Amino acid sequence: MHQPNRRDLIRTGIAGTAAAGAMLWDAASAEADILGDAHGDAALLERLVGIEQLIAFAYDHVIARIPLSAKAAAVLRKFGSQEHEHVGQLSRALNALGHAPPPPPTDAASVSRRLTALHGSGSLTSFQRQVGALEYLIGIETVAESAYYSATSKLSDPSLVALAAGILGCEAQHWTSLEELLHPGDVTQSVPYSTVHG
Amino acid sequence: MVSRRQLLSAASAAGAGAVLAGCGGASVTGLPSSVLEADVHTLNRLIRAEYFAVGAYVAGIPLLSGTDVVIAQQFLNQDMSHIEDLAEIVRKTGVKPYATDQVYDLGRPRDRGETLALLHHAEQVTLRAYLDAIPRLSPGVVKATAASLFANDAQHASTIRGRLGLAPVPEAVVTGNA
Repeated sequence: MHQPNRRDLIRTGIAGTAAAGAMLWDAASAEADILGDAHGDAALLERLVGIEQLIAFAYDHVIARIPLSAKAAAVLRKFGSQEHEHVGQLSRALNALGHAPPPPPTDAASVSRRLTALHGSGSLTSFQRQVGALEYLIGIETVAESAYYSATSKLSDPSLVALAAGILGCEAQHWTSLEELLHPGDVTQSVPYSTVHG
Repeated sequence: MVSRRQLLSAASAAGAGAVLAGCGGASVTGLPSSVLEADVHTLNRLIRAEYFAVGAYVAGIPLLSGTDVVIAQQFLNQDMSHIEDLAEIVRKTGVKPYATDQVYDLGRPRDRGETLALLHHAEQVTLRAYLDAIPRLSPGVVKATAASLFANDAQHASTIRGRLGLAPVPEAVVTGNA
């Protein structure tokens, strides 16, 4: 069953109630386990590279397949390029530890299944329009936030902790900019909370 | 200049909003009581950086209008909430958290652009403080809590950049130097 995330709760209008607070905490706790049982810097990096590969694939897929406004297309090209940069930086860090990064995904159906397993809603192949694409990308940016939030608490090498925090900041900025495309000028949608943990 | 009195007044005014803003995010509830003494100095430095940002918003908001004010007020409330989150961790060690007695010389912004540039500068200073601090903190959960506040400040910087007509996400890894 789909665990409601903060975005779902905002949309159903129940955020802010005590019940919602408890649900939010449960959802956040569940999402905080996104790195699973990976332990040790190499295993954590391998997991992060795998997630970033899925996200970069999803951006490429949306840019190639979905009709976008000129503004949205420019934003998504930039963010997709930054996701590929994350893959590159994390892969180099993994190589430095003597491990090869996982092979990149090659087909949309398997990427969609794997992302669905991570964020529990939607499908990469189920939307045809820009609004659906933006909502889907916001969902997977939430996955990314959750992964890096968890990684900052688990990585041991200080330089990797700093890298994870810096990428978390970037993913949070993506999330905000995508929300801004959907709700221009509405800061209650684009920066709704004082903390970011996916 | 922003005085201690103005900051305290902002803290009081922002209190309700800060509580509301905190409802949807992580609180520090559940943190271990094993925060090391060495972390207290680092956390207090973060509180000091957040106070600087709060000072910039207190000084800047009267110079803004319309949507800019709504955004700046939201970010002021969230930065006040960050101070309280950090202070709560420090209190767990039995140490009194940093409380500002500082007067900030924030220059004299003359128009909207200069005011937003001041707010952007303040957020960048805060981001650099977090990036320096996060790897130094000891318990993983405290690192993650600081990272979650850092990411929210990165969203502030991004939004302000957008209001200034700049690229909202200029770098793939946030450094606080954009």
